[in-house]
This record gives sequence, C-alpha cells and structure tokens, in this order.
Amino acid sequence: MTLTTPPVHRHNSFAIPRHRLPNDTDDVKVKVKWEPDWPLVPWSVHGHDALFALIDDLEQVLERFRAEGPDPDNLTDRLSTSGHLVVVSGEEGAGKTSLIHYCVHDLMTRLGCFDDPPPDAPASPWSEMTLPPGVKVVNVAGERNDDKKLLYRNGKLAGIDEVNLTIYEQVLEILRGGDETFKHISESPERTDDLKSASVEARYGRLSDILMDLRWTIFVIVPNIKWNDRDLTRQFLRSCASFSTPGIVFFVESTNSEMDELVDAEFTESEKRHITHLTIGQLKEFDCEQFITRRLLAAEAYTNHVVVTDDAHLGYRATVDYRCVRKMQLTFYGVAEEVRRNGGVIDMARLRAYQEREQKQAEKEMRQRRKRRRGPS
Amino acid sequence: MSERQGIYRTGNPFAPRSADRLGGFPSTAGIGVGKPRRINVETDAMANLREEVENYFRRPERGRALALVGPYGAGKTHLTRQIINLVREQGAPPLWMIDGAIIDLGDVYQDRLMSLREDRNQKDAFEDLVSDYLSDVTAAELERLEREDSPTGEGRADIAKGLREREYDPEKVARTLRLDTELIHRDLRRHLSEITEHRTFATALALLLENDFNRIVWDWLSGFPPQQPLKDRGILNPIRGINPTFETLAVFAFMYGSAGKPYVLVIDALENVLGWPEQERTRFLDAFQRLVNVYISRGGLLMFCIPPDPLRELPQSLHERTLQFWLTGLSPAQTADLIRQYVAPHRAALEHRNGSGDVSPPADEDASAAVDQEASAAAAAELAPFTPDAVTEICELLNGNPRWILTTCSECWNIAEGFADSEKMIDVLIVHDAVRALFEQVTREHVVSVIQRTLTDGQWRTEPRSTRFAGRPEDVDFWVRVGTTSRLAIMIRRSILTGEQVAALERDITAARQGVPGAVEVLVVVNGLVSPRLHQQIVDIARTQPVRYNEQDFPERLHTSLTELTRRLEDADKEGYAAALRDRVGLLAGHQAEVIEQLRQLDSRLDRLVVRGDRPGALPTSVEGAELPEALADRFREASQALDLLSEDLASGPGVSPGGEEAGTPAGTKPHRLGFTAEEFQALGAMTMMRLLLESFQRDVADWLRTVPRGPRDPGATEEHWRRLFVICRSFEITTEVMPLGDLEARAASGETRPSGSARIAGERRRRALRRAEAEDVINRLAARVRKAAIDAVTTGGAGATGGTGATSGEVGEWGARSSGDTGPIRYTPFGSTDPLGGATGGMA
Repeated sequence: MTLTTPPVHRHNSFAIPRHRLPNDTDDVKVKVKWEPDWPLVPWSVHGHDALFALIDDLEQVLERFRAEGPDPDNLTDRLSTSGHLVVVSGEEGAGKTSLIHYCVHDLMTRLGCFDDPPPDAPASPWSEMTLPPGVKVVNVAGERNDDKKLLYRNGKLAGIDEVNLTIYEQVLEILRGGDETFKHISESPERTDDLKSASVEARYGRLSDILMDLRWTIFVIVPNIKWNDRDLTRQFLRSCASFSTPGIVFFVESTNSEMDELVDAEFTESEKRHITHLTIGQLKEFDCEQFITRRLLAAEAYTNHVVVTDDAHLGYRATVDYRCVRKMQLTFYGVAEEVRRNGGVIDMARLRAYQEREQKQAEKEMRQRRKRRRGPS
Repeated sequence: MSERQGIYRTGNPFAPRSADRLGGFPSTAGIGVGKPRRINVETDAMANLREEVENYFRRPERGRALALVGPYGAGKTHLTRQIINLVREQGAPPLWMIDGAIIDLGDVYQDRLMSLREDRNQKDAFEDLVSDYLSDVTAAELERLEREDSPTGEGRADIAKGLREREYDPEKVARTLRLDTELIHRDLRRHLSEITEHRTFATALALLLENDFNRIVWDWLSGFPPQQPLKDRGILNPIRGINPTFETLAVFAFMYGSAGKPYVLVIDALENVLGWPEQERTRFLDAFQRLVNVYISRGGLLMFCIPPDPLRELPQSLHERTLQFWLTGLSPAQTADLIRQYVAPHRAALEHRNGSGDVSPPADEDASAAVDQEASAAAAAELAPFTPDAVTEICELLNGNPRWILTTCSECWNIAEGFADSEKMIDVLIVHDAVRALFEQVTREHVVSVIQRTLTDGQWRTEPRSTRFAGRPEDVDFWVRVGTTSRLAIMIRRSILTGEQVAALERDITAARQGVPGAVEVLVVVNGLVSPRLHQQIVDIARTQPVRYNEQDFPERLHTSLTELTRRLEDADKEGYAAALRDRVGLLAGHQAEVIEQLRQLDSRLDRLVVRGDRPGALPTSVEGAELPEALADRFREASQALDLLSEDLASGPGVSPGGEEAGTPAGTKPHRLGFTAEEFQALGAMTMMRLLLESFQRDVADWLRTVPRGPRDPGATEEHWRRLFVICRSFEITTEVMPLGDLEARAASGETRPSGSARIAGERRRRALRRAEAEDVINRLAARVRKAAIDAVTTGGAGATGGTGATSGEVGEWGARSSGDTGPIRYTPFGSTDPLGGATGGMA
C-alpha cells in the first residue's frame, strides 16, 4: 500500500494524542497534547480504541479476558462474593497499560456504558469520553502509571502495607472527588468509621457495601511495582485479590516473568475463578504491519499523515528489530518526525538508519557507568 | 638571653602524657591543624611491618593477620598510624579502624566503623563493587538468553562480555535490553548469598543499587534500625552488638575479597576485650577469630595491637594464624633522635627569633679531630637543653619506652624551667628528679597501708618491727614470721636510681639479717622506679626480686612474692629442721638408754633382793650389830618369816621378774621395759619399808639391851630404860599400823582370784590366805611380844649370850603396864633413826 505524502504535516502521524479538554471545542491544536509514547486509554479518549493495534496475540488475550475475566452481570450483583483481579504481565514496553485500559473499555462497553451517548455532544477526535455515574476508574498511579506515587509515603519509602493503604486512600479520594453522592454517603458518621477500619481489607469490604448500595462498579488500575522479592510479590497479589470485593475490579500490571507461576502457586482453584492473568508476549512477524495500518488509518482520519513504504511494513527482525511495541512506537514516531521535518517517506532505509543511531546511542549510554549519587527521589 | 632560655621560653614541646590514637575519620583536608608534625623514629619493627604491608598490596589475594605486640607506651598506635598512612597511599582501599575495642560495639560500629558511608569515594567504590556483582549476574542472564533464544541484532554475547569486563553499566543494559530486572535481582541476591554466606546482607546489598532503596540500605548498614521496606524483606534487626558487627565486617571482607580487592581492618588496644565480662569476651573472641579466618582466606589485611601479657590470653588458634611483630624499646641513639625531633622546631623558632641560622659553632675543617669534636658538640647541641648523659639515662631508666621517654622529657623540661639558674641544663640529676616525680605517685603511708592490708588479708604472721629488729626500726617496715625461726623482712624504698641508694639498701639488708636470729629473706618494695642497670645488683643483695608498687595488681604480686619467699625459707630450713629433729631423737634415745639403765639397775637390785630372801624386802637372817637373846631373836625371825609370806606373791608378780618376756619376744633378746604398776611399786615399797623397819626395830631393841646394865653389881634397868623400851616398841607398833600391809594382802588376794581350773589350786589358795592372816597377826603383835621378851631378858637374865639386866617383866615399873603417855613414842623410819612423834595415841596391847 502506497499513500501520497501531503506537503505539510501538522502532527506526527505516530504521535499519540493524550486528551482533549473540553470536548466541545474543535481547536485540536491547542487542546490535544501529542506524545511520542503514551498509554492508549480508549475508555477515556475518543479515538484511542482505533489506535489500539491487536498485535501479538492480543486478540486471543481479549477473548480470554471476555471469557474468564470479570462478568459484567455479576459486578453489581449483591449476591456475588467477590470482585475480580486482572493481572497483566509482560516485558517493559509490551503495552500492558494500554491493554488494561482496553480491557476496561471493553468491560465498560459490555456494561453498556457507551450505549447512550449524549445526543448533543457528537464524538469528536480525542475528546474525553463521558462515563455513566455507575462506573468509576481509579488510576491510582496517574495517567503514566508511575509507581513512585505509591512507593513513598510521607517522604519515606513505604512498606507493602503502606502501599496498600495508599492505594485505598487514592481510591477513596477519587471516588469522593468525582461524585457528591458517594462523598455524602462515605462521609456520613456511620460510614466514616467503617472506612477507617483497622485493616485495609476490611475497609475495602465496607467500600464494597457502599458500592453495592449505589450499584456502582469501580476499576482500580495499579501500576507495575517491582518488589524485587518473590514473597512480597505474592503477598501483594494476595492483597489485591482480597481487596477485589464485589463491585471492585483490580487491574494489576507486572513485568515479572514468573507471574504465571506465582499466580498458580498462590491461589486456589476457587480463588482463581476471580483472577485472570493476561500475558503479553513478544512481537510477531506481522505485528508491524498491523501497527502501521492502525496508526495510519487513524492518522488519515484525524490528522495529516506520513507515507510508509511497503518494505517498512515488514519490519520485525528480518529488517528492523523493534523488540516491543513501545520501541516500535518510538521508532516510527522518530522516523516520522524526521520525515515531517525533512520530507520524504518512511522506508526501510530510514528505519534502519534510525535504529542504528539508536543502538549506538544506547551502546554509548550502556558504557557509561552510572554516577552513584543516590538519594530519595 | 641564652639559647636555652629561649628554648624554655618557647614552651614545653613534649606532651605531658603522650598517647596516640587512631581516630576514626580520615581527614585529608587538614583544616585548622596547620602543617602536621611528622615525628617518627624508624625502628626494625616498623621496617618489617611496612615490608609486610607492602607485600600484601603487591599480592592482595593473600590475606594475612598481623599482631603488633608491645608493652603499653611502646608506640603500637603510633606505628599503626604509620601503617594506616601507608595503606592510604595504596589507592585508598577500604579501611576500617576500631580505635580501642569497647563493649558496646554497636556504637563503635555506627559511629566509627561505618565512616565508610561518610566517605563519598569509599561509598561509591563499594556500590561499584556491588555493581560489579550485578554485572556478572546480568552477563549470566544475557548468556542464558543467548543460549535459549538467538535473535539477531542484539549482540547479547558482546554485551555480556562487556559486562564481565566492567565496560557496561548493568542497570542500563537491563533497561535497554528490557531484561526482567526482578529476575536479575533475584539472581544477584542469590549470588551475594553465596559470596557473603549471609542471606540478610545479600538481600540488603542486592537492593543497594535500587535508587529507592539506596538510602535505607545504607542507613541499615550504618547501624540504624531497618525501615519497613527492609523489614518486609526479612531484614528485621539493626546491626548492633558483637556478632552483627563482626558479621558485617565479614560480609565486607567477602565482598572485597571475592572481587580480589584489598581491604584493611585495624583494631587498636585489643586487650580491652579481655577486661569484658566473660560472656561478651568469649563472644568477641569467637567472632574475632572467625573474622581473622575470613580475612586470611579472603585476601584481607587485619592488623591489631596488643600488649604481650594479653596476647597470651588469646586462643591458640589466633596465635597460629597471626604474624607477630614485637616492638622493642628505643636504643639510646633512637631516643636521642626522638628527642632531637621534638626539640628541633623549638630550636628553629628560637633561631628564627634570634636571627641565627646555626646555633652550633662553625666546624674547623682543617683538623679531623676538631671536626669530630665539633660534630659531637653539634650533635649534643641538637639535644639541648638535654645533655647526652641525660638522654642516655632517660633511655636506660625507661627501657626505651617511647611514651615514658616523652613523658619524662616533659617533666624534665618543667623542672628545668623552674630553676632560677637560667643556664641550667637538663642533666642526670634532673632526670632522676623527674623520674621520681613521675613514678612515686603515691605516698609511703599509702604503700604501707596497702601492704598492711595485704598481709592482713593473707593472714601473714606479722611481728612488731620495733621489738624484733635490733637495728634501726625504720629500716624494715614489716616483719613476717615464717615457721618457728625464719622471717621475712619487707622494706619499702623510694626509686632506686643510683649506686649510693643500692649501697644504703645493702647496709639495711645486712643489718636486718644480722639483727634477728634465724633465717631472714628480704623483700624490697619500691615505690617508684628501679634503674634497670641497678636491678641485678639489688637482686644479688636481697637475693629476691624487688617488687614495684603500682595501683593495679600490687597486692596480688606482693602476696605471690611473700608466698614464694616463704616457700624458699621453708626449703632452706629443711636441713635445720632435720638437724633439730636428729638432735631431738638423739636426746630421746639418750633418755631411753638412761631409763633402761636405771631399770636394769633396779632389776639387778631386785635380783639381789630375791637372792637374799627370794622375796623383795626379805631380811637377812641376822642383822649385823643387832644380836639378841634367843627369845627375842625368835620373835624377830617369826616376824621376818611372816613378811616373807606376805611378800612371796609380790616376788613372783608379773613383770617384776627380770627374766620375764614381752609378748612374742624371747627373753633377753632385746631390752624390755618391766611392767610395774603403781600398786606394785607401792607394794614393793611397803614391803621393803617393812623389812627396813623390822631391821631398825631389831637394832633398836639390841641397842636398848646393851644400854641396860645387867652385871651383878649393876643397879639394873631404870625407869628411863623401861620408858625407852616402851617408846621403841610402841613406835614400831604405831608405825606398822599405818603401813599398807593390808594392801599387800588385798593384792595377793586379787592375784589369786584369777581364773583357775582346779580344786587343788583353790585349796592352796585358802591355805595361803590363812597363813597370810597368821603372818599379819605376827607382825601386828610383834612389838608387844618383843617388849615382853626384852623385859624378860633383862629381868630374868634371859638375855642369853648378850647378857641381861636380870629384871623381870613384873619389875618394869609403870612402863611395863601402861601405854605410851607423856613421853611420846617415835615413828620408825626405815633409815635407822627415830623421830619423836608428839601426841601419838593408842597403846601397846
């Protein structure tokens, strides 16, 4: 497939639009921030679902999620005894966070959250999506899913109990900040004490009661925390599973390559019915084409775009080793930046040249021993 | 102003009590201290030790433990500082110093040992060391991936090689190649566990390179309590106490040693540990021993300082593993060098102030002798204000001990400053004054009281000195009695620094030995210093080692000395005791021979008695000079026979027989003691007395007969004669009344009550008893019958051959009928004389 190259590129075709606020303006230039690398958040940003490329075996992963993951029908069922824990593991840059957001979006879709869009607000590209009041997403580590927000408490490195407490407090704070009804209920005298129970697990139980009363569902997204300790990792997984009470779905991402084994060893078969472990593997042969197609179609729809030659679609390993989707994203973003500034098309030669430069730079950086001037970040 | 005045005025260059210390924090800035003074005297020990340390840095894989051994003040710490400076010149390897082990090792560890953390370079170096291990682990992971999966383009093998050669940053490699850092972390922790042999430290050190954990790991390594993230990972306790501290040092040793890098641990004053309570001391020594093993096996350099005596208390295995360097005292030349270095800056200051660059006279280069003289003078001038003799004396008195040398120099300086004479040099006399001031720190009274207490506690037998010693009482402070005749003399003296003092001591000791009888050992207690030069002289004179007073262990040493001297005295007296014993035994033997002789004489006397009458106390058949008329003679014969009868049992009594046998001993084969009892002696005596009494009675009667004129023309017996006869007879009578003849009878009877087995013997006994009764009756009636017979002999001429008075018994006047009256009878003595007994009662039947 060969596309013509427009003379001027307003935006990098491989850049990721973060968000657009407010959603009633057309001034995309001002309201949208284009990032070279950013998680796709389909449940929050109009158009992000179109950018999401089902590389690797994500299609099967999603099918598994739909089959084994949280059942929308049970999420607000008072009779259910548990919520759900979804663990997404994969290498750095494999797209774990985006997958979690995609799963949330998928679950919301199945919950019917997007069935009735506001009639007077047509979906404009990159606009913030409006969620129904019964569904809340708590991104405890922020949009970038930065674990540092959880690891420190009062300026000191936190222990696992403090991390759990911080997550809980984040959940409570976001819920209270986003809805007056919840705030009113949760801050009533009889609920306040409940929500300050001795153990975090008990607090989640009380929170679950409130959510059931309100018929709410919340999705708690927890970043990858490198515990560097097998016991602590298991302990944390156990905590998240126990916090996943009715109405609460925990999404936990991890780079731990032994997650399969850990989950298998830690939980009983009964518990595993409420736990779904999704793994993102390495890029496959045709993932590059999938990726480019998705991005260029979206770019064609919403932005100016660059031309990518056919040979560049072949990408993976035989030509250029992108290693992971983030690397592929950054590579195409970088080359597209060159093309946007200098003109031309994205072809294999450019891609190779770019990657060689990147490798040299990485080689150079790897050879520089880090200066040891550590301290609290 | 003279030069010496100038030097004195610059102030005392010697520290009053010089003592070096290592200090925990190396300071390279030197802010505020000016140019450091580097006073040092090169000794053999220093050269040897330096060579050993340099050898270590040439081959750091060969670990070693060095013990720097020397008495207090010998310069161990000073030398150790020199070695530390040498170590720091060797690329500043990791260096831990324990400046004197104290029981709270936690504080030492936190405050001093972990100064590593304060030293940025050392801290970075250690993290680089951990990073090296991470490189190895990361390389291993890359190699594993390379084996399992071979994608092109990544160059894992090259990067792994680069990691092992420390060309790559392992953290960046992991991030760039998107390695599972948690997996690598786990491998690193496992690897460190194998290296350090300590799981907790492995966990902590594996986290050290994590930015978020770096500070809390260092906090924990510095002795602070672990923070919650570390507790979550099983690190529960702070590094506090003996074992954790040594474990940490061992972990560092493992870390550096496995990496082939040199590292050094220095412990000063290890002897402090030996004063700890048993439990802590044992724990420390065990841990220290393990650490020494780790250092030796893992290429570390461990050096510790310890005096000789405490060194002996260390376990044998430590002795075997450590290389010992013994410090000796400074020689006179080294002492002079040391003093010269101390005085030099002050001399320089003086010269600068005086505007003179040379205080020594210019040398005469033309004459070599003059040159030598000038050189000598110049050398002496460099020591000023110390004279060369004073320097030599200081060295000799203090055994070359640097600390005491400097302290004495300081004291000398202070004394010299006090002289009115500004030209006063520090000579030998001042040195002696200084030594006395330094070493005679307690009063004589205090020493006396301590000795008194020691003697009291040891239950020594002291004697008052004034009554014991003929010489001056004050020369001997204590006399201690040993045995019966030996004594210990304790003399307290001040410092003995000169020959005159030794001579005076000798006089005192001689006087002490001569002043009392018996053996004397002298113990000299010196409250001060004894010149090593004179020490042997004192030993020769006193024959004992002088005991120096100190506040530490003097009572124990005194007690030990006294015990040893007592033993010596007892050993020396053994010969005397043996001689005395021999004399005593000889005397006893003489006594025994004498007794035997007496017994023999008594025996022979008895034999004679037996021969004369076959009985003890038997009378001769006729008494010489006591011829009597036949009738009278018969009376006496009857009496004698009666006595024979009464004494016949005595004559055959047990033990009396000279031929008797002791049990199991044949007669006559050896001297034997005759078995007299008190009763037998009494019976024999009574029988003998009775015989003598009878003889005397017979003589008296015979004498009486001779005094009575019995011729035809003689008037015959007068009243006086009759009275005389009455007295003689009555005296015999009343004398025999008190004689224990009844005891003889009783004894004879008892002898017969012994068991016997025949009726014949029983009949014989009855007959004998009857005869004894008759015999006793004869004795009892003898006086009356003799008187009657005597009267008859005189009145009827019946005197027979002896003549008679012709008077009859009816003519004897009133004396013939009445009992003794106003003229009292006499009591017969066996010695042939009569004693008038006034007031005697009773009458002659």
